[in-house]
Amino acid sequence: MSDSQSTELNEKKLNHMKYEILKAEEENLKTRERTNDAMVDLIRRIISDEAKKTF
Amino acid sequence: MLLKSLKMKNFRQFKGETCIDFSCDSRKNVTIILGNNTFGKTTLLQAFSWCFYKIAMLDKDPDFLLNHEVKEDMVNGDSVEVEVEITLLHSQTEYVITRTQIYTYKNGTVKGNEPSFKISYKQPDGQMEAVRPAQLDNVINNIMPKDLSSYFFFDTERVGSVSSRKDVTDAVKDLLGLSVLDNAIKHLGNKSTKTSVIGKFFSSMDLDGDAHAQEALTRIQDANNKREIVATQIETCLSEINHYDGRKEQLDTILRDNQTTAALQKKKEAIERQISVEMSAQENIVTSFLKDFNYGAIHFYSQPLLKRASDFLREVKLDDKGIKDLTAVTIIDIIKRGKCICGNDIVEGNAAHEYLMNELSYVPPASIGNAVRNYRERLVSFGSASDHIFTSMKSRYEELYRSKCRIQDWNDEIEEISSKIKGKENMRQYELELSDVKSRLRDLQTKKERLIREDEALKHDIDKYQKIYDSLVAVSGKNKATMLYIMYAENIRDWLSATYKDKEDLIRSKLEEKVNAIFERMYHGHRRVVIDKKYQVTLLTTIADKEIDTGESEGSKRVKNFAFIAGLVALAKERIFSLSEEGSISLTSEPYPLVMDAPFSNADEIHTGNISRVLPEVAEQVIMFVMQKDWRYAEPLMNDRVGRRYILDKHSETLTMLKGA
Repeated sequence: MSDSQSTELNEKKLNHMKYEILKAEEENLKTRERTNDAMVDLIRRIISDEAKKTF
Repeated sequence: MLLKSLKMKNFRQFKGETCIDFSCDSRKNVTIILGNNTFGKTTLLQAFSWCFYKIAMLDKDPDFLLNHEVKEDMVNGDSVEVEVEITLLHSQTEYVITRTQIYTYKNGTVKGNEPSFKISYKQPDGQMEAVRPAQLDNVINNIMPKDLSSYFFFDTERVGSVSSRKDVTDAVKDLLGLSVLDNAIKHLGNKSTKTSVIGKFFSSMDLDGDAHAQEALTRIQDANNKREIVATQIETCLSEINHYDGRKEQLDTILRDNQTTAALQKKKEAIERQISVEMSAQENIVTSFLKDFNYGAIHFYSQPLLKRASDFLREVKLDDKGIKDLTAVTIIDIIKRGKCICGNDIVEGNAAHEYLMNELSYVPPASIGNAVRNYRERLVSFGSASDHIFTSMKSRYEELYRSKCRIQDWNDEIEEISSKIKGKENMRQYELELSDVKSRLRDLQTKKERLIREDEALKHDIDKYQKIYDSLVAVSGKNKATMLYIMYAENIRDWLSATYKDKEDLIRSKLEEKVNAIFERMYHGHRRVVIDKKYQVTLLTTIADKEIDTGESEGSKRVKNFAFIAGLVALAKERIFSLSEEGSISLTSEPYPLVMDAPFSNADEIHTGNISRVLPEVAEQVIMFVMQKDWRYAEPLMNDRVGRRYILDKHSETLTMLKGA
């Protein structure tokens, strides 16, 4: 990723996304509740919802 | 997870209800169940497996779990329950897991139906709440995933080497939290993996629409650039038109104010043209005059002398009887020929001869009468030519004179006109310039109209492409947002990949360190454990400063297995991952029990003692099904850590009773 791109990313949002994604993965590793497709959709939603947020 | 109790009802040789409470004390964390071979130790281990996963790996008739004595007591139509219930603590919540199978005696045979399964958990208020059926598998996976269970419900005699199993890599990753990172990396994926997060984001982008929008934008920009050029050209054109309009007005004024001058100027030019023609005519006259002179000069200038000669000869008396132009030489020649031109013979003495001789006296040199007569005639002829030349030259001279007079008159007239239009001589130039200015204005007007049409066409293009762009801009806006999501996803994936690599190396190194530390305490010898990238464990021996693989005995394998599992359990308790901004996220911090069937099998007394000392220190909870003979060596070292103790009392092959010790 280039420097110009990284400057467009919000560090706080980025860390929150990492946290939510890892929590979801950890939870699913234990429960196996979600299929791969469901996990992919969940992560997509985590990223898009967090990116849309305004503070 | 900590196991609180195991209750069995009619499960294999355990007739009726059997309940085992496990020690959950942090200090006295060992539960010992003593029993010799065939007393039911493995059955106890499989009771856990059946309850959790509906799998019982038993040697004989593994699908029939009902106690045989109970079965024998059944009569047609009877139904009996086989049930295993596990009570455990997980994530500070108490769960009760129950699997029940009904066996029915029908038509002379006893058959079990499909087992039922239920889980309930204690709510904060102490009330038990049943887990919804759809969530049962999830809860079990949460508590103890099946793939990992064999590492914690450990059948020592059945598993040769836990560290060489194919699934050991996945198990280590799961236990130590790497699977979380690995799965997240796989789910995030990349643009070419269409089922991944990034792949799906990428697929959702309308790249065609974006390309069209970009093309429309480029066309708008091009058209705007062209309009700017056209506008500059129009401005220049208008400026030139203004300039020439101004000049035209000036010229019109000049010419209007000087119409007389212009007429005089025209007249002067006409006279000048006439003079020019006249001058050419003069040149011709002069040429003709000189030609006449060249031809007739001798005639002209000899006239006085010839007149005096003619006057003199007119006064002279001359005998001119001779034949005109006949010479003496001609006469002598005829005489010599002897024949006259008339045909008569000329012979000396005849009449003809005599006549000719007489004739000689009339011609020179004998007589000049004829010559003078001829000369006088020629003078007359010569004189008449002279008159003609004189007349001609005189006429040409007069003509030349008149021409010069005319030119003089015209020059006088030009001079007069010039004096009148003095200082206003450029009227013609003004007219020419006006004509040129008008021509330029026409060209400029044409150019201006063309540029305006061109500008209109460009404006039309811009409007058209702006509409296209506007219709696509919504799509482009969506793409922009999606590109941002992709950037976030790629950033997270790259961070996870880097973290995974760092953690993987670190974990392997830490695991090797822990396993070696535990192995050293368990193994009475000098060998070192090496763990490769696939978590395969090898024992190395140092010989002459070189580490070599000298093979493994059953005893050393057993110690290696315990060291490996103990190392895994110890490492799993540690927090391996955290995020600074969100507080912390702790992966795999849950404690795990070690449930072991015949752990000291094939271990010598020293190894048994060492294992007994180390395992309770490493694991949160240890449950061991041990043979009496092995317990003798373990007890002195483990006794202080034993919180619960049971003895399996075998009454028959189909009945074992559990007694508290």
